[in-house]
Amino acid sequence: MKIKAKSLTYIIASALLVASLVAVIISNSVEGYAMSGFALTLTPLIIGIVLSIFAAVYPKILKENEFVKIILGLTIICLICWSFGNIILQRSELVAAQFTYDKVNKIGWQALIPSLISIGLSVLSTISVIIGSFLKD
Amino acid sequence: MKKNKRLWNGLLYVSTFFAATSISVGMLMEKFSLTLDSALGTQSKVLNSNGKDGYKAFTPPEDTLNKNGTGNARALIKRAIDMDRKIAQEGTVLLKNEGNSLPLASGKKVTLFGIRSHTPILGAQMGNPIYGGVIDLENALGKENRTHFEKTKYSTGWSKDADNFDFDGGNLEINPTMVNVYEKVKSSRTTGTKVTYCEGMTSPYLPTEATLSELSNADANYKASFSSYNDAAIVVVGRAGTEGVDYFPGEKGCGMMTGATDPLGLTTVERDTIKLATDNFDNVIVIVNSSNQMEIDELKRDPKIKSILYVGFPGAYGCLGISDVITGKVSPSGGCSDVFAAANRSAPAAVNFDEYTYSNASSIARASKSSHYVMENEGIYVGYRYYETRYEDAVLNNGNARSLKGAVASKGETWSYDDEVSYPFGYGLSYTTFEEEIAEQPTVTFDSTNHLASMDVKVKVKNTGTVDSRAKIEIYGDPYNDNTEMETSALQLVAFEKTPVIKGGETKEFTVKVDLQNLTVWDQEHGGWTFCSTGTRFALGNGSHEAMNNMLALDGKDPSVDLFMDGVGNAKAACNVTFDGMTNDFFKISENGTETENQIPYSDWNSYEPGKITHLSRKDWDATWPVEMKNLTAPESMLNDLEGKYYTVKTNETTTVTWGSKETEHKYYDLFGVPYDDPRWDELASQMTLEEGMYFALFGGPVFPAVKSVGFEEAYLLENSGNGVSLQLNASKDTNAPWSIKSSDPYALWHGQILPSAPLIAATFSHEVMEEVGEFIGIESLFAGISIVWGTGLNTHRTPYCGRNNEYYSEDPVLSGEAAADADYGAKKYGLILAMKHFAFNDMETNRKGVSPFMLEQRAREIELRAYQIAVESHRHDVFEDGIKVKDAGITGIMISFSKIGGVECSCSRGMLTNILRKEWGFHGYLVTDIQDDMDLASQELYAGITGIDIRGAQDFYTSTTPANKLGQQVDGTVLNASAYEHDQVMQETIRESNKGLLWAFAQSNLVNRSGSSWVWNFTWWRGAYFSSIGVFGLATIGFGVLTFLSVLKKEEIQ
Repeated sequence: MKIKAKSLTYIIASALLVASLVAVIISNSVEGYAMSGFALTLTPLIIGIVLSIFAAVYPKILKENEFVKIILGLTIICLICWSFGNIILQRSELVAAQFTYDKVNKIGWQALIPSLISIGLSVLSTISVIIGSFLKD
Repeated sequence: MKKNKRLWNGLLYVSTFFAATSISVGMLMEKFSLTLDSALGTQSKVLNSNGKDGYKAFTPPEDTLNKNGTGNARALIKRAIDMDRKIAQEGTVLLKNEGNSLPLASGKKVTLFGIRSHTPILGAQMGNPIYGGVIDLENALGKENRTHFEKTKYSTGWSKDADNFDFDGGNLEINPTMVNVYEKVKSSRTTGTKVTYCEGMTSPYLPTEATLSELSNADANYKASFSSYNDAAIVVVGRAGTEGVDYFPGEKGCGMMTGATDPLGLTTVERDTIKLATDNFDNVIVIVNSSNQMEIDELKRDPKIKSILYVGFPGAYGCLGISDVITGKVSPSGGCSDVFAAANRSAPAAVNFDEYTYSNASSIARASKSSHYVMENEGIYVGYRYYETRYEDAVLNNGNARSLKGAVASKGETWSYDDEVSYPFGYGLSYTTFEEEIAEQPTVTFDSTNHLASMDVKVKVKNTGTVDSRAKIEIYGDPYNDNTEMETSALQLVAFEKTPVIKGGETKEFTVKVDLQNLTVWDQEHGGWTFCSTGTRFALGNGSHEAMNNMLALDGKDPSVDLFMDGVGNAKAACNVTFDGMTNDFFKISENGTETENQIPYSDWNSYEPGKITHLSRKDWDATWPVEMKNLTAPESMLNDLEGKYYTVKTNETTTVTWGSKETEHKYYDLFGVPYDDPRWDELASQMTLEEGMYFALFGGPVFPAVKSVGFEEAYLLENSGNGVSLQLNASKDTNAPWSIKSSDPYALWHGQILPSAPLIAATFSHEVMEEVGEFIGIESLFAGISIVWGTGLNTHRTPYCGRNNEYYSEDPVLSGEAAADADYGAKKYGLILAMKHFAFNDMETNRKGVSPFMLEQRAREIELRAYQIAVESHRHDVFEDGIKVKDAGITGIMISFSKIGGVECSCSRGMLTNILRKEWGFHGYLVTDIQDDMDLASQELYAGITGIDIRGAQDFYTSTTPANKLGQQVDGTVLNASAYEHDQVMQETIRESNKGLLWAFAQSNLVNRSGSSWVWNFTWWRGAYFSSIGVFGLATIGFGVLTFLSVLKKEEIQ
């Protein structure tokens, strides 16, 4: 089966988002560094993954429904931005600590690094969706 | 068409992404708007009026104001320069001066050696850094007589030529070749070996001294310059300090330090540098630029080294004071604030100074903060107390003191003080000599009602030389107790003073007041303070060792007979004193009227596992010498403590505490000057709702939550630190203050952290200087528009290895406590609350978050806690009239340590925070955790008695920031909503006490200057930036959305 480039970008986005999800869960599970209101970070990410997979698996449906396709992409971007924005808000104090007075806090780094990875992967997945929007169906 | 559609669709997605990201960034900025203001000097909120009192309660001194009452930043900076200079003048310790190698006359030609001569360590990397342009050693010693801040800029700041200041410097001719050589070496350094004014350290530490080959590479002929600048060589060696990192004793701590046997010992490269000087110069002076006592015994005993000076970290401008000492503008008068041991690992505390993990750490819940411990089984023998007590016992041949157990530097077959100690605590030379004697039998006075007792000691000081100089008076007491089973050191510092300048040949008398509480002993077995009521001995001395020998002389000991004595004592500088009318339990009841009892049994490992730990005792130095306690298993009985299970919030009690009372309508600022025991404070606190009370007790700054019911507005009121206020002048939190420095001021970027390190301040042994330090920080706080600073540091130097010793005064609690009390007294003149840190037992930085130091309560009380007790009770500054206290001085702010005490988090220790601090010592005020510490134990912390958790960045309380969303899951499962404590009587009582104390402290602070004014939203450039970004990308999103929509419609029409 030949996969079209546009579908591929959604597949990549889905994979990146799954990795991002795993990273943020790892970060959140570090003792003493659970994020408050974690569901607000997790839920949009999971919905984003589901929508990305949908877009990758059912390109035909989207091709036939231009508006749905566009809104789906927009929704994915907004959800991902919401999610990583929330991680940034939650981890901003940790970033300030780890890069100043708490450089030697190993556990803090264990929490922060997966968060930063998650943010990075989320941004990459957004870029992937954006690239896809410039490609042919 | 299709192409256009894809393009518009793609651009729609791009603009959406950036619009969403801009919103996120905007939210982030708003979340931390007040913190951002501090960093950027913006004002996202401004006061809407000048308040009720209009800035009359506290004002800066006239010399820092212009005639029209506006602030004069240049004058403030001039004052800062003078402050640093004075501290360094009086704190610099002359350790050795053979053949009067110092002072150096003006115009002498000198060569500076060591990378630290070019870039001295002026502050710590973290904790107490310094900012902006500085006056370095070359600048201070040389002939330039003008700052060159543009060349010495560090981290931030102003560096324009116009900002420079003239000064009266050393006027020495400095070898320019070596200055250039070290500049080249410095420039060539890359990450890892960079040289800065505030260097940090890694563990193990790698000193950054320049190798001889680096010098040759920079200038192959550098030695040719020596002959033209050969009046003296000044070599500077140093060690850095920072947060979060420690030095470790012995070779383990040496890492890549070739040639050193201890990280605080000299390396091969440093020895090479010193040898380069001694090989080429007759007059070699070494400057020790470190806040951790370096091992310099080899320099002491090297005849080629003529002079040694200790300068600590001298702050941004303190090199001027060092220059004054070197060139003889002032005669040195400082004393060692810590003992200089020949080998630091000879201290019994060094036996257990490492990273220790419980063998069962993995099975401890909350393991991230409860896996580590340190066993302080050296007992009360910290610093000089060990060396002097062991010396006396060796002289008296008691307790196996002569055995080699614990000896490191002793060369013979017995332990030897002379070999083990290079320079005693309190020791310091001058350019003249002094004779000090006790002029007459001291007078004892006591007040049984207030449980206070003091002794006036008349001291005769004769300047036997020809140079005018200040002298320091140190009085030591022997805490010998009637109960001989009790562990007591041979002597301890009980009082000190610095005299005014005494002219050569002149004799003057001074009366020094000794607070006899400083001599009390903690009864480990029964609890409570005991006192040697039958009498004991006191002695003067230039340092602890001279005092020890003077005491021995008083007892009839003579080195010609008692061969273990290493010096002749002067019996006239010592005396026996009896305390007729006083009893052993005179101090059992505290000044605050509370019976003193053991309050922190969990500090002692033996309380969990009886008989496990042996603490060092002078009864047998050999048999009780500390054993390194590795891989201990936390016993079952300790686990609840380690896991934070201290208190269960009640859910079914009927409570009697009144909240939300409408009977009175006090505003906190209306009670300015009202004493704490006035009933109006209870009325005021009763006006608060339980929710307000909970917020006010939980959120401890820098931003404090509003308490509308008492007129308290949410505001940013707090900053670091101990060496000046950590804020640029343009970032004032109160721009309505008449003296507020505007952003357009040429000095607006000047940053307040410029003072020398705490050990140098302590080394002044001057109450006057200590008070002036507080005054200066207080003045800064008015310019900064804040009411509290976290500082100064008040922990005890348990060993020389703690990375944060630079923030703490000394190994001695009396010196530390008095320094803190004086600083607080000075700061209060300007309405500043100094929140001393870190209460308590921050004995090491390694695993500082939750490490468990275990010790006897006697040790805790007599060493670490005594410093805090002195600062809280502040007997020196209390004022009594007819036996009634009319002015209650003492610190009204404290920051709690990250560490535990024994098995219990300090922040959760009700024994420490309520029973000792409040009930015994009478503390009222601000009692905050360290940054975000133990947030999962918030209920336990409230129960213990905190007045807030330090949560940087928390603001917009009751809406964006709530206990539930900020503090997360509590270890006990409590949900921290407004009703969490509705049915817990004790918790409500504790919160009430916490609220009341904090409101009282604020009402006495400079916050009342603007009482009654409130904050309004203000536009800032960063708000403009993110608004614009959202606007541009938002519009683009709409535009591209429309284009996409149209192109899709068109496509469908075509189809």
